[in-house]
Amino acid sequence: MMGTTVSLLAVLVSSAVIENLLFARALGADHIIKQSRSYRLILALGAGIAIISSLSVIPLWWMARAFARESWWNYLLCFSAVCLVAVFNLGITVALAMTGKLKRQLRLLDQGAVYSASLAVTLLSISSVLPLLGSLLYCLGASAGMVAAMMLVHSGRERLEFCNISRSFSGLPITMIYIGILSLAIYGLIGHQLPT
Amino acid sequence: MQSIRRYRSRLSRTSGLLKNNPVVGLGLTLPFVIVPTLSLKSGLMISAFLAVATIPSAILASVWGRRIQPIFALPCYGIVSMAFVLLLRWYCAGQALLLENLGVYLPLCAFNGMMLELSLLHPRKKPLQALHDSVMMCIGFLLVAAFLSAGRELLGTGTLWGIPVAAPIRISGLTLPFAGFILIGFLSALFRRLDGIIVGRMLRASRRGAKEGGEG
Repeated sequence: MMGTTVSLLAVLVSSAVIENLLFARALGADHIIKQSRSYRLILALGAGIAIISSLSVIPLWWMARAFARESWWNYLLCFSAVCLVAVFNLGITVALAMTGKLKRQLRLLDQGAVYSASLAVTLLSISSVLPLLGSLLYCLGASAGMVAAMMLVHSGRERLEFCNISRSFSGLPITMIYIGILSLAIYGLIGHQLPT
Repeated sequence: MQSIRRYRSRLSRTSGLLKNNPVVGLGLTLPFVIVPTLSLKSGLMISAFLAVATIPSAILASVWGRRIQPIFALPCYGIVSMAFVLLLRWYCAGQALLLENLGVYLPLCAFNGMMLELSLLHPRKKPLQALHDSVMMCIGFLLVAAFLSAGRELLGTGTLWGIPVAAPIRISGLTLPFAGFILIGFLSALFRRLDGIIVGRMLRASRRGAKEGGEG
């Protein structure tokens, strides 16, 4: 029992920190440049990614148990993941709209970020070959890690706006250098191999 | 001023290549150029997958864009892109090691920033225009990816296209994600600086010409 709890906690922490979507895999780096400056939106996106990926992982996990040894499994996994992410995303959007909690539709850019991040988390969770609970915790941990990373970068960008940065470096260049230094700091703390 | 207008006009004809380069100009598809570009082969492979994911969706958006409800547009284009990505993956099945190195970035090509930009955010009105712009953007991505991946492979692992090459220095940290972030940052700044230098020189030349014309 203790061993299972520890291993599940290890999955949660590794997905959030060691395999952080932004710092270790650069996922979400393009969205961070263009997203509207709001911590609330980052939290909402993170919650959406967590819910959509967790719901998508459940049927895919069962499919992996049945078909993982087949030669066409990778193709089925990718196509099914896209379809499931789309279905759950649409379902959540419609449900929020019907309950009146969705005041206005998300920007297309933010929708795209949710789709791609949910797909990434789902595929990474399935490819990690974990038990079902482990896969779900992986999704939650990865989403939480991404939210934390985006908040860190967002607060850093707010501080950089008050600095005297040359025109060539303002915006995208300084943000990339900032994320790179943060990524280096985390790598220095944990020291792991490049994930793919 | 006319020379600056001519310079801008020439750049806009190749929009996506240098001006509005998807990576260093617009900040799109950054994950695909930061992590998978560890070797020249990987850089070219990911460029090919991004092209097959982007071009059909952009053309489809220009033809059918107005007939698809906005709520269904993203999943629709995503599924079309994924179908083309899987088709190319099946075609390249012989390159198993290379495909495995690309990992999760391969299926993620279906939702890349260029596809979102050309299919959803700013769909073109005509298919030929969509084809031109998407091809230009993909070539722009290829230029940056090829440059970065060749540099990282040469200086990071001491090989080029898998062939051992005597590199002047070896920096093994270049193969890590943080190096990709920092390199993209400096490359983007370099592009902006070069553009500023060119425009600045043209402005000074036109002012000098106007002054001499006034004195004459």
